[in-house]
Amino acid sequence: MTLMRKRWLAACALTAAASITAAGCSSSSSGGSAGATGSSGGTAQASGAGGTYPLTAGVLHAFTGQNAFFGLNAQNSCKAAAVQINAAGGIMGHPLNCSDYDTKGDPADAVPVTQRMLVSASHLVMVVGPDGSDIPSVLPVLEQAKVPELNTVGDPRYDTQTSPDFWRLTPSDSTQAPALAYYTRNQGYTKIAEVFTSDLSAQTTTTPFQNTFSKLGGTIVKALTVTPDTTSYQTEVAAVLAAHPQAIVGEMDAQTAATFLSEMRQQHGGLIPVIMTQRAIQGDWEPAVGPAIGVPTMARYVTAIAPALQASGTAFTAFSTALTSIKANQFQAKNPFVAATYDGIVTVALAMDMAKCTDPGTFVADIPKVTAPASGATVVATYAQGVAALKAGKTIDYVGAAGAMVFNQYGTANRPYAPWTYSAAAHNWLMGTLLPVNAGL
Amino acid sequence: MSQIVLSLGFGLVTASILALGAVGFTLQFGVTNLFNLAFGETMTVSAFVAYLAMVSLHWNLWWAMAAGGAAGMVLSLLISRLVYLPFLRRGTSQFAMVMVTVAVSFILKNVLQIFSGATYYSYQLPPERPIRILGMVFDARQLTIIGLAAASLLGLHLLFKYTRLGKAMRATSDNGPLARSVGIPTDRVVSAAWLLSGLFAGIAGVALAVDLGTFGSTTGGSYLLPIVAAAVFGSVGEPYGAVLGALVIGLASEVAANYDPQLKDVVAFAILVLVLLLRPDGLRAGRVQMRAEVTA
Repeated sequence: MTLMRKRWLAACALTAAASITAAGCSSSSSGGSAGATGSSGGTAQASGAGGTYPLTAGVLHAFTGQNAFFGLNAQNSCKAAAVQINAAGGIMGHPLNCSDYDTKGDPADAVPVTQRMLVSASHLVMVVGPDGSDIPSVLPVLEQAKVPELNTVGDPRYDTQTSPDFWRLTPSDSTQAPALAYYTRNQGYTKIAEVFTSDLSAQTTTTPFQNTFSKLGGTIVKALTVTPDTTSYQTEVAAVLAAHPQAIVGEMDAQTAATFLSEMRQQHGGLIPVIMTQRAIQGDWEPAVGPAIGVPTMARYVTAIAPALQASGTAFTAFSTALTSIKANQFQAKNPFVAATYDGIVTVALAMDMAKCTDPGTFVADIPKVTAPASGATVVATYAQGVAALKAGKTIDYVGAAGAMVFNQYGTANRPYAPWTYSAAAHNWLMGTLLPVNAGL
Repeated sequence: MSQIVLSLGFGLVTASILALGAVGFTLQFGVTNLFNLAFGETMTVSAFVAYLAMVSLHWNLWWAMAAGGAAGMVLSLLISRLVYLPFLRRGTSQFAMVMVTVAVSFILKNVLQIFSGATYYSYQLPPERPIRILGMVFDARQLTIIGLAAASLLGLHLLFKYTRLGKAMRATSDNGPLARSVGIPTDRVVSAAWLLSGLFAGIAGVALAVDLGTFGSTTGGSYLLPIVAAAVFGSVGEPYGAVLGALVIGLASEVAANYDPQLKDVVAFAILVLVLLLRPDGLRAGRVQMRAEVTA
């Protein structure tokens, strides 16, 4: 891309951002038609679209490359939420559309594609994504545009961030690490080997895990940081086995885990217990690791510590039905990240209804209010229920498919963790008992 | 010490796969002078063809590998004839040709992703009993891959030394116009080089997928860098040098992993940089047998 074009896009992005900021909402407007960016950077009125123009949720994720499953997950979450919202008449009459923007999982591609989204998306009211590798480069651009951004990144650097547009729908890795340590110790393992890949999303768990595990009386007999996707991990596997750990704890991407664990099976003649972070229940892990080491072996030895999922009730049924209607793999219904993203989109839609406004600058303050468990609040499980309660003048507490989503002052919805094991019979991950917050410490 | 010996064994397996790839890459460069960055995707396509042969036709791994090798040959020849040759005939510059190969790489990668989805595949091979040799640990499949690499390289050596085709390849590589003027059908020799390169790419792709345990649409491309590094290490266009490069990179990276797994690539590529500093044209510069003029 030429420098001129970059500048042009940046100027357009700033213009779009300015137009959003400048736009206001009439709190009494039932049409709630002001505010969202138009394709030309204008407002709904400016575009002359009346009361039923479509709103856009920009799905900003990797859709190609090794992290493409992130994009597919978010795309399905968005489509499923849009099905439910549009079936209930849209957001104040405006249908919600999902548009995909491919970051390719590369920060260098992510920024230009974000700028393109900001100038081209019609009435952009929220951004879904991006993932952990792209967010450091993209977040400043999104903050400037002042569009709410829904993510599931684990990076603890965002634990105390203060941007009003940053909404983390799943817990931080800083809360995952104690859960990982607690479960490991609670299983009776006192000597473990720690294996994390060198990428940022894995590395954010290592130090808090080490601290908590040693507080719980455990010892790490071997700590390895491996480079993802190399041709072999034979030497690393031999080093781990030489330390005689009772279990392996860590985080590895799908390809790395498949190679590492299959080489361990070959050298050791079988596996030892493997306790992974939430990365293991992401959609690409089982298809890679299962065949490489054998699905029964994976089911027997691998446990993932991941956010808990409600997995039953009205909200979950509505979510599951919406996934079916868009012909998504039902495997995703049991993925807490897919469910949380779906909940996040419904939450933002309800915030617009609460504010009676589609201007992000106005409704963003209502996002945490629609999921806050206040006394006297009506608990709602679907978008339609939420709209009906709001129209009746009630305060709502949306408890969605993934369960309660209560945002803290830093825009993070912390949730409990649970161990997940793979069921060969069910072809899916199954959740176990909830783990105590902060390892009970 | 025992860990180092173990690493040497693991390094041999890695080096064998790298050698198959690096020889295929350098062989084709030697005859055509084209730096083909779509080589990794040829490996991936071959891995998928072998997968289909195993899953759909229920062939065993080694027949499936043969199918992968054949697919590599066909794809390699098709790409050269349908894409590269028209550009070369128009006198496209070498730099522009590299970009054409990058474009082919992207096209193949994305087409593969469309058909394969964003997921992984595995030959689902059952575990095998470890075999201990001189303190090193292998399984039967790894020993077969090492043997296959050795046999392929020996076959290539015999081809160069004792066959008319091999001698014609060396002549074409050394001086294409002169080879043509003495009646060598350089067009066919170049085609043969693409076929052979594709065969090596195919076998390397399947061997890589076996060793990794799983593969996807980006697998071959991800491993192109060490393959190119091995080829550059030993002087691009020089198959014996590529074998040497593969051995050094494979062994050095595994031994380095004993100290810190993150040193794997650091040590391997530091050695590469050091060699290039001392010998800018690679370790076997001046002994190049396959360097060439483009043509056809």
